[in-house]
Amino acid sequence: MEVGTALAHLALGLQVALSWQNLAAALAGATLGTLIGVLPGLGPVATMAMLLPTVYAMDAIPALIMLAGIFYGAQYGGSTTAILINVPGEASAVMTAQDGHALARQGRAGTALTVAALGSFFAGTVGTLVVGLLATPLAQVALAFGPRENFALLVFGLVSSVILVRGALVKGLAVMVLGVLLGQVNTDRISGVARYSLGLVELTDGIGVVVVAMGVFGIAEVIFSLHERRSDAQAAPIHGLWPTRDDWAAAWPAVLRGTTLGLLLGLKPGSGPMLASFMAHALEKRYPPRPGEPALGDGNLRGVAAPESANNAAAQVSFIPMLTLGLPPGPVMAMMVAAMTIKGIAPGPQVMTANPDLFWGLIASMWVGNLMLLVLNLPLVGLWVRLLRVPYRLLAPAILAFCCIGLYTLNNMGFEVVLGALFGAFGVVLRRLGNDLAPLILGLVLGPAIEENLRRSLLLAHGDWATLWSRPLPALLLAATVLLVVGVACSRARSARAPAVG
Amino acid sequence: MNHTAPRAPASSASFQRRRLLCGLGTGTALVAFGAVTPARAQEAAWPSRPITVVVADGPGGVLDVRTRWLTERLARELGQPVIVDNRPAAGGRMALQAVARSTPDGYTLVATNMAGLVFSPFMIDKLGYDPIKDFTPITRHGVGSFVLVVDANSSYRSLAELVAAAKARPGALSFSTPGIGTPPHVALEFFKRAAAIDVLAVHYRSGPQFITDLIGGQVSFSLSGVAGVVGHVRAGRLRALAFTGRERSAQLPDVPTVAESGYPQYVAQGWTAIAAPAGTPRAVIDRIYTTALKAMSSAEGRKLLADMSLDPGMEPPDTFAALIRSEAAQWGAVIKAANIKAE
Repeated sequence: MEVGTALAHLALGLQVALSWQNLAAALAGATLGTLIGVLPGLGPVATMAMLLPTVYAMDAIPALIMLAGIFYGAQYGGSTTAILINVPGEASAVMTAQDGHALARQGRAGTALTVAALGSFFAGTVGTLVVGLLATPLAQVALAFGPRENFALLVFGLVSSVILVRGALVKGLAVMVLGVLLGQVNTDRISGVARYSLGLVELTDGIGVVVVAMGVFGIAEVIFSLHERRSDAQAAPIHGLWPTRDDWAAAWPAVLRGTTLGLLLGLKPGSGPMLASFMAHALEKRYPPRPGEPALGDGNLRGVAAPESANNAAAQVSFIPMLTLGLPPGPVMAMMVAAMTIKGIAPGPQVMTANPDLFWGLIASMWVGNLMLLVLNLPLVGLWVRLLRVPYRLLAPAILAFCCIGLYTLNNMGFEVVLGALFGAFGVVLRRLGNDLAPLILGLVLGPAIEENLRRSLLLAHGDWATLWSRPLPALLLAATVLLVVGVACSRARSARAPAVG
Repeated sequence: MNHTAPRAPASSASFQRRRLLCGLGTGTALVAFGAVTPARAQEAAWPSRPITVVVADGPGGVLDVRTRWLTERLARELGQPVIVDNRPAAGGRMALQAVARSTPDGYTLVATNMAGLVFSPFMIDKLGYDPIKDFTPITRHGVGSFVLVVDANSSYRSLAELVAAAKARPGALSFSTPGIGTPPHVALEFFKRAAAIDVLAVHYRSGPQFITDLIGGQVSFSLSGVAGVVGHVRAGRLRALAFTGRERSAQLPDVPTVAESGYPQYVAQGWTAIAAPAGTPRAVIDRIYTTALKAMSSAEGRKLLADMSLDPGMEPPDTFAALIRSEAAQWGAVIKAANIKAE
């Protein structure tokens, strides 16, 4: 696409997005999204569904702008609870919780929240530009991802996220495999047979990733804190809200790296934002801490900046298949398509030409919405941080109550509240044994997706395994995975012979 | 869960009755009062409190989107909030189980797709409810036929060419489905038998990945609701070979029906419906039906359905109940022959 035309398109988009009606829609969506993002459990999809009666009555453009605002607002809000109380409301916020909550416990929640907000804004801006300028060619990339490509990419993502971790490799792998095994509890997509469901209908859809995340992080954190009588640690003196010059110097490169990864992985249907945040965090671990900087996972600002930028960039890019092809990569985008259908707009490639005001207006509104979120969230940082001054004996039951409400509202099932509590106990045990639990979530999400794509590939190739390396992209990704494993194993073997460094 | 607030005031009769009940106070008094009230007055009083519609689908799913529009209208017409309770677990089975066991007083209804009322007993051993005995069907609220599509680069230009290719190389062609035991899957199994072809089913999760992979050239063909593919057909990415309705689709008038293409007996339609637990008073069923019919026949209702490429299918409760039985016979035979299991 010519740059001149692209600019004309963006100008048209801004013209649409900056109308009063559409600004109001973006503000309403972003605000609501932030609110539900802060409440664990109640996700953007459920919120969008509740607003459907409003959508029936609204014009198509403001309706879609509002729904989009809910989506990226929730992404912002989700990081807030992850940082403050270690409750990741969505899988993509799990990595943010690691360093973010550690920072909060050191009294630096304000800094973490500010960096998360600015990193997200930067990633959102770049993401919007990419969507505006490259949507059409990138859409072709999304189409090129068949079962083989998905399988290879997911294997690469899973292995590299875990293997790049410094420290106990075997433990990391073990926790990941545990996640993959938990992911086997479901109904087999190919044969329709329920597996490991213990005769419980509730388990035939699998163990929800948010249930596990809220259990092993949120609930386990509360149990852990009470066990350690950490009420004093919570009241650690609060340092400045604004990051220092050193903080910036450390965070910026991480934001850039995270954004790049997010842009690349956002096209991946379904798990894009989550995979991007995990890989961004893993990548940061490869960069040794600067002098005086805590290790990743112990409250390093880069560990907040990178995954937050990555998931936000990926979230923006995930609009591409929905907008240009009418093929939504996940439930949130499916909701947007449903809204379009209700308004009589057949989703598909023709939306761009038949409804240019809608297409470009929506894209421009994403940037406007991201800016609104920044303006909305930065002043709130001070307020959120003050929340941590609430004595932990009061905060703990409140967190538990929010977790329970969140768990119930996932599927309106009491069963999942119990399941979340069980995973809370499970998380305490695993953490007592010195395990990092992020790979559990990664394995749980990617395991079933890898299996499904592998079996679909083999089914289509009539059982011929060679299909997996019969095309360049999957072959390349699988080769990279093998090289990575061999490389890490060799370097570890070498360092094992030398005195251990870390 | 959310409330759809009623916009019109409650009818004066039910309003007065509610005030009377409030005056009586306790729940025991309420039950006692209900017991001595003549049946007619009791029915006239429905609804005197919020109605819950348990939806066998997640928020934003096809069934959920259709149902929420209707519940909003029901709330407005009936003067009581209508609560949407999404229970997508186990393919909607949890929703149907819960409603089958609920009190048949007209305050708990279920919204389901055809799989829950027609396919499930043939696919699932321990279903936990009986679609015929446990429910009083009210009406369908959206009927859509499917369209058989191939990738635009595909060499098949008609259904006959596709069938000929499948017969020439048994087992070589494949089709994608949005999940095992979903209406498009079962409809294609039916076609496999009607055309006597051997083609491979490749199942995906619900969502459009099964269409993405068709456009990406991974599978040979697919069957989908019209709304999901009409944009791609118009944009020239997919080619529609046949429509499974009785008559041609208004959206794709150039596409022949399967029946026209040489399989006169073949018709396949997917639908969604609302039902009440068995034993719900007849007057209540009729009231819900007439209210829903009024909403769906309004200009707005007709436009909404047309935009989603759907027919209303608002047949009266008895006709609908008979339809469920006849469809169960038809699809049950297909499911047994194809040995489809979906726990």
